[in-house]
Amino acid sequence: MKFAADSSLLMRLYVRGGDTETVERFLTEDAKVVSVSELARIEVLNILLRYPERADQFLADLQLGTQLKLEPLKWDDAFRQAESLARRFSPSLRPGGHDLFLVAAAVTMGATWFLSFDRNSRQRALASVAGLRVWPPLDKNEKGLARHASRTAS
Amino acid sequence: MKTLTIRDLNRKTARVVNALERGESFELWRNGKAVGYLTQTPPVPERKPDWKAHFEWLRSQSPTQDKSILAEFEKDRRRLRAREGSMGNLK
Repeated sequence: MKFAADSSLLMRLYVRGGDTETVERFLTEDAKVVSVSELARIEVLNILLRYPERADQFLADLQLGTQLKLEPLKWDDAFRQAESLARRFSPSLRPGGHDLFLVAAAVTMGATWFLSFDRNSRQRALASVAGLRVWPPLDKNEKGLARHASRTAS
Repeated sequence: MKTLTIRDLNRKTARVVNALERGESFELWRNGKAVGYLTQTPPVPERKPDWKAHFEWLRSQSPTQDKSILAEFEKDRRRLRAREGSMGNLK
């Protein structure tokens, strides 16, 4: 199983917050490897570079490839996937462009899971209708959005 | 590296083992395809993620910094959403 992380999950690996213990428990169970797209890598690096020790740790983890695995992507395929998601779900879900790319990257890298804490966008619902399992699980509102999007998808 | 077919391996097992002892390595072929290697060198042990150690490192970092980093990340995200919003999206 491949676990693709968005930037909100990756940030929680380098910054403590209310979800830290939940993330630790989830990843420690079965010693999960987290897959990272270049898109998420740059987004996280852009913030962490202002705090050199955190950025160094992030880059070292990617270099080591044991816990975080940078996934090489065929970006042509990822962009096609993003367009396909937009055509099917944009009218109902209205996802942000950036969300489309993150989910499309996860689908293109062959992920089975999408790990994201970003509940302020439609990204998690989009990942669900794109066929990915989402962690943490979708809340009631997101499930409703996903059901509606699935029903109305062309 | 020399190549070796399964047939060669069956016929010349003792010679292949002697060559391995001398430090030679072989690429093993079956049905026209490489299927593996015979070599003295043991495979590199697969490393498993050590999330416990990772989160111990995280807990050793300054909590004051945590708040600023998260705030910057959220600001970045809000900026992105505002741009999407200004295009009429995310309503």
